[in-house]
Amino acid sequence: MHRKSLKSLLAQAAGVAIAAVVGFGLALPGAAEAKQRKEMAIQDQPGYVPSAAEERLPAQYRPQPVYFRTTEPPGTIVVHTNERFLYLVQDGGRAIRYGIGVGRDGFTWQGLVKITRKSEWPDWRPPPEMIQRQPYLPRFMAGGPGNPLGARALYLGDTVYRIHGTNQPQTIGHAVSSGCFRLVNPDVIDLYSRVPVGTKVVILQSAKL
Amino acid sequence: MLGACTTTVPTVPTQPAVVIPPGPPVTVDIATLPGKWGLASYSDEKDRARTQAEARSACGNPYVIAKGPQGGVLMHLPDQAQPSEVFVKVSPDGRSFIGPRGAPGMIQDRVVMFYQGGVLITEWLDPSARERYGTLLFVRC
Repeated sequence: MHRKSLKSLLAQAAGVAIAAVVGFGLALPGAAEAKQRKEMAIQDQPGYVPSAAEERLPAQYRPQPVYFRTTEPPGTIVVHTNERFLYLVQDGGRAIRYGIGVGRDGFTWQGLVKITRKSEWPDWRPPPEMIQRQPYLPRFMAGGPGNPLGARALYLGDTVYRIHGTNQPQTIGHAVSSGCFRLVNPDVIDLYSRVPVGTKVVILQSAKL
Repeated sequence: MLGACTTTVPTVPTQPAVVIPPGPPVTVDIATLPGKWGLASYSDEKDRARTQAEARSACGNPYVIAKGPQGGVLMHLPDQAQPSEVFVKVSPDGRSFIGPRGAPGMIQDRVVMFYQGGVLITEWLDPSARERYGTLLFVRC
């Protein structure tokens, strides 16, 4: 259902509504610059299962087709960390844009990698400092709806970095302390279904026009 | 301010109902619990075997159960950073619970689903904690 609506929106890419989206998109880098990288004060919530209502994001962060100027070929993922958007490049100068949250790890690097592995409902291991604060936490949580890594993970190169889901929808659009590049679960499921292993991923720390 | 206008009778917040997950009677000798345990969790039974392997490999950062001063053991209650003294309590149908003094099946209790061969499997009776943490699997280190 979610995918179908995206497809139909893409088919109308020349429409006025899309032009409006583009206008909004061009204004975003400036706003993002001002946003800085101040982290949202929130800890991981292992086991928390968000409701569908919580996963319905503010309009600008929902998946949507936008015009997108790039030299990257269709099928490439471009991540703009400062904008808090991930773009999946399409034909004809367009892209599907997803709202993301960026973990501390996500700000530490930029460049080009490929997706080397895909995982459904990935497992999660709380970091040692979290175990120290909450000694009752399992040291390993098998993947599931309350898992902080969410519904899907796309592993980047031979690094520990990944594009993943989250059980904290409110962190989309923000910098957070943990993780790398996070999308709400319905969105990461959608993205996962669209990209194969081997997909090129470009990480940009600053927006470029 | 609003409270001055209210006509409703204040009510005591109610605790969520305790639902005891089905399972077999399990015997637990509390004297065998103190020590170091690898701790992992799962939500789907198909993940149990690999979760057990992960729990074993977590012995480098173990969950420690200590003896309590009143004959119980020190373990954590749901979402409590500090451990409390808890006891093994057995229900008339032979189910074992680990929790504070009181009747078996209190909301702060864990129900023991399995205890054999150095593997202890429990679930919280608090529905929120059970949903968040799933089935907790301890492997003796």
